[in-house]
Amino acid sequence: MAKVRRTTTGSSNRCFVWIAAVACLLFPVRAQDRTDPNPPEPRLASLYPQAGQAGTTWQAEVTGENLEGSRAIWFSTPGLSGAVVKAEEVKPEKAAPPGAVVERQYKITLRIEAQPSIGTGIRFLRLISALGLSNAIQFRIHAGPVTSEPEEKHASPSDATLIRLPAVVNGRIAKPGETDWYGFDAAAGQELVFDAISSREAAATGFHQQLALYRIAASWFDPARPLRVAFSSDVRGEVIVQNGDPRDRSGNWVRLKHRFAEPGRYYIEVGSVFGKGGPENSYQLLVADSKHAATPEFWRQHPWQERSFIRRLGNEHTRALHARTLATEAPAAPATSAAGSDHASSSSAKPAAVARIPRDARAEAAVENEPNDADAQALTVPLPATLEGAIDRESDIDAFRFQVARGQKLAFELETFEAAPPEFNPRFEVVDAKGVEVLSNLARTKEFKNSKSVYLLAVEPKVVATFEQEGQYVLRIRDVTKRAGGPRFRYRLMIRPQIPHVGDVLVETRTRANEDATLDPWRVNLRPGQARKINVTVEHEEGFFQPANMMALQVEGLPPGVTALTGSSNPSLASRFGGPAVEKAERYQPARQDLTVVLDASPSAAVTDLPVTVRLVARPFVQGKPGPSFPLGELPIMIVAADGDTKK
Amino acid sequence: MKIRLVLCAAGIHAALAAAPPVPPAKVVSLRVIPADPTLRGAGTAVRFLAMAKYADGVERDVTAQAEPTLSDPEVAAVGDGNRIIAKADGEVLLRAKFGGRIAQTRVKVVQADKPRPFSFAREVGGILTKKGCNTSECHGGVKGQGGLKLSVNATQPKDDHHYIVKGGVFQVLTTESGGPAVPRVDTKEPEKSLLLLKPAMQVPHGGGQRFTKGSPDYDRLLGWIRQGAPFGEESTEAAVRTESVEVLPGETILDANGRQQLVVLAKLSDGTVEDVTSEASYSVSDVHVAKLTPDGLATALQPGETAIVVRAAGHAVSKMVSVMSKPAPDYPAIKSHNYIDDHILAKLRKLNIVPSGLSGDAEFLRRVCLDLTGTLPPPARVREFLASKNPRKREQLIDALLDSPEFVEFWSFRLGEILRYRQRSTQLMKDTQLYGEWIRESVASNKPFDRIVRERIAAEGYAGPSRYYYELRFLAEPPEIIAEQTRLFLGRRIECARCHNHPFESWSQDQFWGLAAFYGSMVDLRNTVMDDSVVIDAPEAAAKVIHPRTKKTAEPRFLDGTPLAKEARDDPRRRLAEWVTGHPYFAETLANRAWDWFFGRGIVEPVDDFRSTNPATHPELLAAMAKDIREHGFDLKYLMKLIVSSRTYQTSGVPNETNSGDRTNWSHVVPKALDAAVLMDAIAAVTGVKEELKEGPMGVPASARAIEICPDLFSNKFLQAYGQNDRATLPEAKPQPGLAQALHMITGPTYSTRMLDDGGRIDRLARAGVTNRQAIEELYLTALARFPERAEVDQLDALMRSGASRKEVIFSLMWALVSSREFAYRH
Repeated sequence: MAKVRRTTTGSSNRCFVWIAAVACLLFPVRAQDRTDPNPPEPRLASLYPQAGQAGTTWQAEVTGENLEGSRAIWFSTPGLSGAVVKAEEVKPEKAAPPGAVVERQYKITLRIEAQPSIGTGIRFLRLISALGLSNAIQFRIHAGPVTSEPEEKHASPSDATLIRLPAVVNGRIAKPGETDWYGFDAAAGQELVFDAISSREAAATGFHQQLALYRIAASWFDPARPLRVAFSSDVRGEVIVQNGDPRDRSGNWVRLKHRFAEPGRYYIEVGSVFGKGGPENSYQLLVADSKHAATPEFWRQHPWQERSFIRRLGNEHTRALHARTLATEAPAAPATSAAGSDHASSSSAKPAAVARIPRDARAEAAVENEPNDADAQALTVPLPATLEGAIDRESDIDAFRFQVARGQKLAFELETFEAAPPEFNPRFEVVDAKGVEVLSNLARTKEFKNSKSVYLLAVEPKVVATFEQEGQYVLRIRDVTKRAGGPRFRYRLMIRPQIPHVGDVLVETRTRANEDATLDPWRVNLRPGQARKINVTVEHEEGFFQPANMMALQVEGLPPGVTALTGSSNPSLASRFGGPAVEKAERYQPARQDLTVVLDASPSAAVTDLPVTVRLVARPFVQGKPGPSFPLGELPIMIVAADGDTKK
Repeated sequence: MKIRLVLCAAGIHAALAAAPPVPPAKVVSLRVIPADPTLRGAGTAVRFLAMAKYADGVERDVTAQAEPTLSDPEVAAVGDGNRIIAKADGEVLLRAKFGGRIAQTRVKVVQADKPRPFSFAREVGGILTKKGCNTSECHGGVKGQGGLKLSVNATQPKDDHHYIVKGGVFQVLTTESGGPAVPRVDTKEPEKSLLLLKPAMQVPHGGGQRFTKGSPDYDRLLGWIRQGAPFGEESTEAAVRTESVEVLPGETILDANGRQQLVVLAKLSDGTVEDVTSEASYSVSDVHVAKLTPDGLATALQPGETAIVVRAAGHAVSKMVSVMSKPAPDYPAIKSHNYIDDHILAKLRKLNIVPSGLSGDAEFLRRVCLDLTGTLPPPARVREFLASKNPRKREQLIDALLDSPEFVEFWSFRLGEILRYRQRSTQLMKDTQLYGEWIRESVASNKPFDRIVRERIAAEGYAGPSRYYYELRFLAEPPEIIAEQTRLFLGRRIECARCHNHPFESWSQDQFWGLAAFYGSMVDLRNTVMDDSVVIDAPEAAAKVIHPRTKKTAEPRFLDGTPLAKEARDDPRRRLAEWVTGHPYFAETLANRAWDWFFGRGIVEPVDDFRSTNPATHPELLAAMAKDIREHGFDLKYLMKLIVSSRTYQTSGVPNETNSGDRTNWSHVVPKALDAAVLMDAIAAVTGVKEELKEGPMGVPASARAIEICPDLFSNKFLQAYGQNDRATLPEAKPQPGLAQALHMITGPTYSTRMLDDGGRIDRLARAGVTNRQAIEELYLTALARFPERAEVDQLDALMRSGASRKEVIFSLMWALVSSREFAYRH
């Protein structure tokens, strides 16, 4: 079944709602103009602390705007409960200029309880307020004890907070230039991993946390001078900077690994790039022995990621693709040639000798074997295959040989599971028996700058192609630069038959342009008598749907009094992000189809106490005939009283 | 409050005695120059010079007193003006006798039976140069003058021939001539050629009269036009060309009122020489020091040094001419610490300049701490150092400073200036951070400088040095990059050649674009699912570098004209990086810049403006340091230690009678203003109160120093007033005093309210438990790294006892200290 992104936040079947009455608070409720097309939306900006321990209860603080009347927490998964404890409106420090739209700012204290069995990882919460459902905000559940930074100043070795290892500490770089220091003792030969992860809300505002490791080493000038031992972007420690992938806003992740040659007291300093501070800039610091350090998966959110370097490839991935396709296939698309016209013409003269690979064939793993820089040293692999290897050193090339049938449609997918872009930018190319390149994952875009044409290049995590000519081909993979390499430059490259399926589904529910689309604003709050338009973009992968056919949209499970009107456009290869077209775009990007839903709440529509999850369903029409419907995703909706009072 | 300052005002040169000083009687050696010249063609002549070296180490021109003789009068003869004139093929010995010594040189004559072939560059170009027609102010300007374009100093003879014979003017963006093409020669009626009519003022000429009708130069040009205005021998591949020009003697030190005939030799590609002394043009940079006649006779005017520039035969060279002070009666013997001192002291000795004494411990301590770490020594360390009797304490201090974390911070700041660590992108501050951390890590690990440079020039991927290439959200343009790289790493300013051949030097537009082409395949890689950009070289995707005049794709060529081999073009910037760091220019540029870091002035000044017309004050020293740093693997710490260990660096800043006017021979240390950020840190160290630096949501951590900040991210009035460099371009100006600084001292919070903050030094000293004398001493030690003088203590103590508020008095004292030049300067 195809799902929308952030499915964990939306399904009423799997999503548990815990509501606690707010006994002590009555919020000021502002009257709303019934004709206001864009009434204020409740929005969460920060959550602190970002983490809690399974089996415990803790207090947290959220900040945000338009949160009047917040009365309950809506969690993404079972095992979590909580209540709104206290709420206060925060007066702005500076008066707004005349005529400016001012959103009311709030600080709300929550109580969160996590059941012991909940399991670790990323979770979400939303607030139900008088103005409706808020966006979702992320936090993490740990198995071990979680502490928070002290209120007292701890900005130097002399007042550093001592921590016992392993440690999980919630902290915040709340003010410009703030740094938080933590002291610990390390044994000789011990290797520790320091992870700092920022909230995705902070990451979205350009906050980049950084770590510096110190020991006290007397300088000629100062006998108590801290000496920097390693830093999160220098070469002395192992460093991973997981930058903000717009499709994976789990927050920024910085990892520093260090082996201690000498025992003693050390200090880890958490700061931010150029001292950026603010209430939303919260972080979690994890310090653990390298043998027990959290895996990258712990830090990452795992929504469906069609085109990302950090999705996990393998047969599970193939199964997931099959789950995102129609039971009945659409007619085959005209072949898209990966080779030149010479290949196409010669192919017509020769009968196919090599069988095409069935779509459900199981991919075998093939691990590179050095030396394999030259084509003659290429490891021959049967398809489908999952190639694994590492660009061990600068200018290293790994070569693999494979055979394809004429007309074979293949997908090439790349995963980087340690070093990742922009540190490691894997580039592959496929050459034919004559050494002529027929395909690569280097996409090229032409732009104009200062009235000159310039090229922008991109390495793509996925490329599709049709091989017009049967034969043997060699795939060469390397880093796109001639400088980078090392054991962490590991890749996994899957070559498989194309599986037409639904890729990413993007739902646009923002009512204001300044709301960050990556911070999960997916929700609709409707007033009786109000209509709202929602744009849905469906990506058609590997020829899932053809331009000549049609796809309509249905909305199921609407609350009483709400109707949906839908419309759709034809799929096209237009870039999702706008801008100039990528050359040979069909190789590098899916066809996209824009669908429109207008949700119309009648004046008599009943106010809802809880969000109602509606389902977005696609209905294809193939050559004029309706096909089976296909779920695209889910969306929480609330009907809010026109004056913001849900009790009416 | 009077603060004693050790700084001295610039001295005034003592007037020379009316009578020329008598040189030391004893001649140590005698030589005749040029050494073993070969002359081509009968009638060719070369001047010779007899140079006598005296006991004071100075060589003097004694040609007029020498007695020249030739071993074979059939081969050559001695003519007027001490010229040897070729007569027949063969070799002849020229002997000169002076002061009881004899010297000789062997003169060879070849092809005496053949007439000297005509050369446009030499014959016509020489006249145009001598007469000043092709200076940059006249027809040598970018687009020429009055419809005639000439290359400066006839550096491009083919172009000159074209513009004279065919007419037309230079266009920056096209090879087409602009405007109507008016030939300057008329081969049918040669006397009506504009090339003759204008300079002879037979028709109006904006440049005035350059020669008269019938003068030798007029006749030579007329003869050339009558012959059809040929280009001459240089139009063939086998032709003899002028490869370089040399000015003799190499070193010129004049007594007061002394004279020296210069000989300008054109060195030809066939190994022969031509004397072009009379065809050369001369200019003197300091006309108060020496003057030159059109025939190259230099005469001393007053003590000092001046550069002279000689332009001839399509080349320009320069040299220093020094005029000695009065001989010191008892010139002291000064111990050299290393070879730097050998060079410096030797020249000072020749100039009769006595270097100042060795700096005192306090003076040295403050100087070396500021120069190596940008940090004032703490009072406890000052006491300890001054009290120490260890004869190796200076050396040990230098080692301790070089190994300190403060060294890393300060030299990250210094390198950050020249490598331009600044906010490079409008959106991605982490990119800037990456670049800054790369610089810091390079310093912390004492990465060899050639490796630092290779990493930056050849940077690919997302690594720190690659971030340099971003300006805003795009890659910088190749012409901008290469102009900066060449200036920074090779010490040459070639940016003029972007639009036209360099007006003063021999850098051509082709050379510029050949270098820029190394960046022609550099492109921006952007992962479509990430924000971050990556730098790669991808020839297949690059926009190429187009020569603006020819409109053709520029091919990568090194500065010397060597094209990049085809097989090396997949990684052009790495090849460029290897070439740059392997070139002699690179080592000499680094040595010169290091000298500037510690002395406030380069051996070549400005430090990034090496050119033939800007000579080094100590070329042999520069060459020796360049060789040394190359042999030591471009180890910056080695170079720094070498410099700060020298007697020259450790010389006192207090001048003496002989050296107060000296600014170029490092006879005494000249004070230099502290950088704005260093000064801010120094004030914070004295006051115990740090400046809070904030900019919107960004802020500088309390533990960070001002030298650690990214300058254009945090605006601060104090830093701006004191000349903080925003690094938008390579640093040019050095900190200079200004009105804004004076106002800031009076009203700025750094100098006033902030000093009184709770927890600061004033707050602490004003409390009970600290005696007046202790407080005074601590302030002096902290701010000036020296004990106060007894009179200063007595005065201040009396003031503090007089009933005035103790805190107020301490505040006043601190203000006076940090406002003084002694504090704000490194001396």
